[in-house]
Amino acid sequence: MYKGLLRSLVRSSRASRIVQRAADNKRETALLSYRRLQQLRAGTATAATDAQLTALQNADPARDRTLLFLPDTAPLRQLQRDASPADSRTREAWGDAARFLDNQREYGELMRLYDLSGAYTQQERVQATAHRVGLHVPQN
Amino acid sequence: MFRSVLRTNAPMALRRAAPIAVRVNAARFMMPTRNYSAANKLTNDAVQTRVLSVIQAFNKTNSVADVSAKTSFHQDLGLDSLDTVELLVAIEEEFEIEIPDKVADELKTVGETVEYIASNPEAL
Repeated sequence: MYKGLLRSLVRSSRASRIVQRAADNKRETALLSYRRLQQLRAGTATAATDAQLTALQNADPARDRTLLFLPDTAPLRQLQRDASPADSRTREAWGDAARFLDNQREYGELMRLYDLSGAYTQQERVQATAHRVGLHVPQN
Repeated sequence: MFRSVLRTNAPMALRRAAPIAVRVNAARFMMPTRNYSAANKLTNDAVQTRVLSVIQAFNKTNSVADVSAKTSFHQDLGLDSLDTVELLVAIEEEFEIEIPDKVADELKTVGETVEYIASNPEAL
């Protein structure tokens, strides 16, 4: 019961957390590069900043094992503590929550794979619409 | 149902963010294949290093300095039953398998877990 819900939570949040981590790394890299420039201008040592920069550039969020764990499981534990294991309705509710998360994640993944609406630029979309009625978009 | 297929396509799904005009090799579509007849390439050592790195990433363990095959989740790492569940779920995700509840209840040490994963043909 606890395991099923936990597994669904980890799985459904992991992809977005990887994207989030990548974005964070990018921002951090920009900040560090700026700091490095400032240090160069001031003539101070940049070794520490360089090390941080290379560490950030080598970090692969998809391989980051800390993202395999939920950041905070305390609320889930509290729920588990409060729930009586004999109560079939609680058991059902937990199962439903896990199934909902799984299905939602699968739906999202399928949409990303097969829904092309986000894959075209505005220009391409206008062209496709024009082609559909036998017209061409004028050059320039 | 689609889980195994989707997971192998995950990098492709991320690449979809770029518009078609920008994508250089949009036409190349890689069909993921998996030869079940081929021997499982995961060795015990490889599994163990990956399991250890997962354990090191877990912030609830108390002594990570010397984790070996004999290390017990409860006695040596100081994890309670719910922490152990958390760790096993992370290990499941790492190897993209699902450990059945009955087996998971029996896994008490790192060595047992490594052995189970190495014997599981679906582990990646």
